[in-house]
Amino acid sequence: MPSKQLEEKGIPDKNLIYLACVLVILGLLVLIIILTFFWRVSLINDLKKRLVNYQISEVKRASESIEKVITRELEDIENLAFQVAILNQKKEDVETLISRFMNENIAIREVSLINLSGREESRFSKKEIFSQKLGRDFAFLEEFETAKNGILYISRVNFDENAEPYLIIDVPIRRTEVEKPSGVLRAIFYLQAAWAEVLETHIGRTGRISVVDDKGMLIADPSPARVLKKINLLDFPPVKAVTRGEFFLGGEYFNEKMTKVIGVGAPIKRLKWGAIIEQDLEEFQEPLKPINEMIVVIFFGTFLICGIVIWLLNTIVKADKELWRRYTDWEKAQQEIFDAKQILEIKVRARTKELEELAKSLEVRVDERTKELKEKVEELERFHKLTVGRELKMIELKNTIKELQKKLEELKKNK
Amino acid sequence: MIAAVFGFAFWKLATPPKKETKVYTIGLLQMSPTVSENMVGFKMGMSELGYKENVNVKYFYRDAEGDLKKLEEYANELVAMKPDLIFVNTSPATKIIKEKTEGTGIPVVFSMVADAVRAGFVKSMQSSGNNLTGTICSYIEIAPKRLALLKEINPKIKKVLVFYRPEDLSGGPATQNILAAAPDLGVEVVAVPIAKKEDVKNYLDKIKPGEVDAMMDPGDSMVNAALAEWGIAKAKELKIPLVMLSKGEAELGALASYGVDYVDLGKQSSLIANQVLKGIPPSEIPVETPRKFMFTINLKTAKEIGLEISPKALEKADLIIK
Repeated sequence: MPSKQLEEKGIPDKNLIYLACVLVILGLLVLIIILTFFWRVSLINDLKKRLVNYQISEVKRASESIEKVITRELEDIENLAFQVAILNQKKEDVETLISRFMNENIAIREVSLINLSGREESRFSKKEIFSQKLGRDFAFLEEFETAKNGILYISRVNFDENAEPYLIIDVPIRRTEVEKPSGVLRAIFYLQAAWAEVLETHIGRTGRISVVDDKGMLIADPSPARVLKKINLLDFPPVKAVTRGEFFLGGEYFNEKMTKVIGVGAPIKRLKWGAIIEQDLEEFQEPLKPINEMIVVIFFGTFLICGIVIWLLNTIVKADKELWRRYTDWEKAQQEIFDAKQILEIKVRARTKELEELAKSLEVRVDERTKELKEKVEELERFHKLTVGRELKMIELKNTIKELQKKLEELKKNK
Repeated sequence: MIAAVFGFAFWKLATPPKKETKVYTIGLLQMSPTVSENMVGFKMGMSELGYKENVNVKYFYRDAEGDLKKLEEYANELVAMKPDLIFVNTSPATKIIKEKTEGTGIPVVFSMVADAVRAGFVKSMQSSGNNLTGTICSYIEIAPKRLALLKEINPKIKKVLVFYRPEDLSGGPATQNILAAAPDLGVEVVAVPIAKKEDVKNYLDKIKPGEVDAMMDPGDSMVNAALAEWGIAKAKELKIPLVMLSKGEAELGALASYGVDYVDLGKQSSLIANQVLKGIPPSEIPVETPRKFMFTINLKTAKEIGLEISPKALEKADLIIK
């Protein structure tokens, strides 16, 4: 049987093949999704790490730069106080020395010399002139008393009438560390120079470097108005860390505007200040966009491919089923034809036998009839002979009569 | 097909997003060439901040050369261009730009303004409350210092001639400060009010040798122009010191100058301009005072007038023209 032959060739197992194909495709799809997911997570982590590392390097640079500028200025001021002590406060020489110092240090806009009773004896400024009657009394003020006791005094960040930030620095005037101060040198150090280089650094579109003091107060920011608002940022993780003298190596939080940001911080150790960088998380994640886009493309591409493959399989299955149905029909028809042929053969054989028998009986009858006919033919031949001979004689007689009549008439005419 | 999809995905990842360079347009309006160093300093500062001319910044420069008519015409031109920012120096130019940019939203950074609050350019030094911010030149505050330096140059000076316009927002108050400081310095100040530039010439034409020991510019733009035109020559003729405002005037022949460093003030203004271009509203940026002042002494002039400058004064000088 043909159907049995096909079954033996494995066609009935085709559904298993299709199922296996679909399962393999789905398995691949799941595998791609899982791999892509892990790849994405690791890529994002790597990218975040890089960006945070960049921020950390920038914030370290910023804190070091500020510390360097301030340390240099403090050393210069201490050195100036030492030179003033060496000159033994000789008015003319000291004036020249301080003038030169102020020409070289434009961030120091005012220098005062205060005697041990706290009276300001002279003041040097690029803007103002000093007269004795303008001398101020610093006695009992923390800044003066601290320096008088031989300790460097650095004020908190102040803002002048023009909102410019400055520090008051008081240093003892003495030749050696162990010597009792002969007076106090007071300097006004404007911080713009220290801020300028740092605050001009831009981290992306929204990233900014700010500086906070030991209490978490914002003292420098690219937007001066933000500083003038006197914001305390101590609640924010990087500020907390830097005020403790620690680094903050990246973390997400909401800033005072309730914007989610990623921030890092580095302490400015000498002053217990800190530099922080904040960048909007949205912008921070912008580099991840192409990765996400790629993943979407991979996902949709994979789905699309799987969809197409499944559709193709489905189409093949349908076509196969149709083919199988047609084949079955054909096979059935074949069977019917075969059966009909068998019946026909039987019928033909029966009819043949019948015909053969009939033929035999016909032969006998034909023989009988032939004999009969022979006899009749013979009889007829005999009869023919009899009748045709007479007829011929009569025809000859008639012809003879006609000839005789002709001859008679001719004779009559000739007569 | 799979290859196509992955290929496209990696191409997307590998292709960096196109970063368009914004080209800023900045209008530069200058009152007169005497303050051109300030403009130079501004452009230098901008360049140091990464604004390269014709690359990411385009300047439209106008110099009114002291002509108020031209100044207004140029102000109109610049405002019509709708630049990203206008940098303007001196009070008259700032005044016109303030009027012309009102309601346009064009940010303005000014410089070389004596007193921005008194001139009404800003509400306060902390916050302008409008589209303006910038740097002032502190002429009013430093006027007594100029007198003190003059006295240090030649301690023998007793009588100093000062021209001023009483109504001028810079010269008027600066002269008042000079008059207030003079007694402490042991100097008598002859303060001569003027209404027009020629008044200076007329006064100088009549002045006799020995009538005054020195002359100084209080920081009045008209007086400054007049002294540059006639005062320098007259001071040499009378062999008396003349102290003016800028290095340029000392180079022209004034004995000395004390004032803001124009170049540095321009650079300082560029830092503010940068903040504005980065999106901080001018009203949130405090007006700044100069960070650098410059004391210049011209020894050639000193020689011409037969004056020996005191070593103390020379020590203090930032620049000595020999």
